[in-house]
Amino acid sequence: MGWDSALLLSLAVDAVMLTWIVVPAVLLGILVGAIPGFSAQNTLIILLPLTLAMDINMALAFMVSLYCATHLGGGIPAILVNMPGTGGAAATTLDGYQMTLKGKAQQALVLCFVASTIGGLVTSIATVALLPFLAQVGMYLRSVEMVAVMVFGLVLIAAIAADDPLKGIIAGFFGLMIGAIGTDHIYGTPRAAFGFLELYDGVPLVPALIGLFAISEAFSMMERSTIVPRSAVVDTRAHWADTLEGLRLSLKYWWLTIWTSFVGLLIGVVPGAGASIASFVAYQQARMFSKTPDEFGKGFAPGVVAPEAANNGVTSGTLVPLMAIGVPGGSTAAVMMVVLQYHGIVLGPRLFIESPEIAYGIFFSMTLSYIVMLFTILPLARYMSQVVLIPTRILVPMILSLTIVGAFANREYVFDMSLALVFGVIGYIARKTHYHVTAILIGIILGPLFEQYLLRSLRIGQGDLTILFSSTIGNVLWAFVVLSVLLPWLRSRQQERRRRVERETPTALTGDQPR
Amino acid sequence: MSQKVLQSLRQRRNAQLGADLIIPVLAAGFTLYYLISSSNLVWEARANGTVIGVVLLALIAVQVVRIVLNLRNGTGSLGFGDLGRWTPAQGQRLALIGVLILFIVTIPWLGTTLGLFLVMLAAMWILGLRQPVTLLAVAGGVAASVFLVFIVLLGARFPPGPVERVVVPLLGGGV
Repeated sequence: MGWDSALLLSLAVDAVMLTWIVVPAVLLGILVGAIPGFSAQNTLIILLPLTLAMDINMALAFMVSLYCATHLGGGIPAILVNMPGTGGAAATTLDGYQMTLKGKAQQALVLCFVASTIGGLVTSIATVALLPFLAQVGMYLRSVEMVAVMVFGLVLIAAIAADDPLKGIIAGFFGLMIGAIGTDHIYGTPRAAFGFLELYDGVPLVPALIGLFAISEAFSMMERSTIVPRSAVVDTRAHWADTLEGLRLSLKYWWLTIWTSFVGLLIGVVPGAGASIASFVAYQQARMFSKTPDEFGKGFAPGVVAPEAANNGVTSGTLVPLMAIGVPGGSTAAVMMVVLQYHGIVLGPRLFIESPEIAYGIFFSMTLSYIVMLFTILPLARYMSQVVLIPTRILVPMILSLTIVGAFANREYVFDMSLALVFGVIGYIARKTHYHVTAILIGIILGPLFEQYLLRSLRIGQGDLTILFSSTIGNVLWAFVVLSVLLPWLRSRQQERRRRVERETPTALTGDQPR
Repeated sequence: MSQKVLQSLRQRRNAQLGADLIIPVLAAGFTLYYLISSSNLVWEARANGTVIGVVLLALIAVQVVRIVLNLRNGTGSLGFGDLGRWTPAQGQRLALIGVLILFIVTIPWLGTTLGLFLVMLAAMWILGLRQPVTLLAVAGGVAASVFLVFIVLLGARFPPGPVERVVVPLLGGGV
């Protein structure tokens, strides 16, 4: 699709008209981001009935604003209590908490807010400009390449997200297998539906999502009385001088903000890489190119700026593969995919031709939400940390009951509530044993799509599986699949060897034998 | 031997590998069920499950071999770790699952609002909340919010019960 200024103008006007839904979503997102262990996708799942009942543009504006705001909110407890609200804020703790210990909490918060909003704003505008090119790239992908893209995306998510790549890949393929439940596309014969008519259309995504993320998270949360111990909360009083100093530092490091936000955007485009990886990569980059690398980790402002700009840069990036090829770049994008599919939106290259207002509208909403954030967050910063003190004995029942009702809302089957509970138990076991739930969910989402492309390829090849290795782009992707399996495996073997050497060295010195 | 090395050795020896087998066993069981139950279908209907299933079974085999090697090296046991240990939280978790099953079974009669109110009360009670005012306020607040936002305002068709049948018509709606 070419540049159509009339369309862009009308999308900008539409985005501004949705400010009334963006403001509460931003406030809720900041609140949610500040609760460690509670993420954008969990909130979106809890609010799924509300989102599904909304008009598609409103629902997308709400989801995108909430998603972006959680990345900003995640930095608050990371700075105040050394506990990242989201995985993407883990790197922020390194210097943010050190600043708090030095009595510069307010400055650190301001740095975090400005870097987050500028990082998100710059990348969402850049993504609008880049999307037409990305959409064209999607056009070159046919069935054979799409099979490779899906396996690559799944393996990448599994290998990067899970601590143990093999466990992650098993989880991903388990998800794909669950996604194969239901009637086949050609003859309509049910497969592995356990005799349930409700599964003839395949495993519904909403209950799977609710179970794997929200219910399993609630079960894990029960092990703590409050999400953050009361003793961990630091008294932080706001002083305007600190706020102004934070703003001055933000201006001083403007180039770092821009640069690391693009690092985030690039990493976000890779399915599965996500905010955690982006923020650590950005932190490393900032340190590597710094004139004073030794200052990092001691409460140095760039140590807050770099990870925060990067984890907000990721927000635009993760939506790119979702829009361009229909593969969600992360778990929140997966939730959005569910909502888009519910509204009958077909994702992939054709989205830019058939529904350009959806494809571009998302990024306009994102831009608006960052502008709203910039003006709302500063006065609210000091109150945010109190959220982490909500007792889990109130929070857990709320999450469980609301999500179970949410599971019903999508198809209006009581069966779906039971399904959510079953997935909740599977998700809890998967979390406890480090089989990544995101990989299972992405597998379930990709299952039907994978079957569609695989069958199309096999019919072209008259049942010959070697058709999958007949295209150059496809073969390059298969090579990446092999590399993304082998590299983490080789790395873990190397670490294992290093650990063994470390273990044996003191034994040799002391003569002490392990029993 | 340093404390750190000793701790690392202890952790490795205490690895509960039985728990690591739960997901693979579930996955392998489901895959075999899929392959057997679809064996008499035409190839188009079987192709996807067979391709994925074969890869999954191969991956599971690798994981099992890895666990067996760890057991042979003495770097873990077949225990279930936290999942198999009986703790107060584990008991509460099972009780909550029971309450949720009861909620799902009875929702066609109790309806969403009353069901939610009762499940919230029971869940908070199980988790140790005993103040009657807090119990009633939170459970009532959640149930009332869902009723007002989803059933009255958005007109979502949640299972109706006594509350919906009495109150919604009074507000000018229909169940």
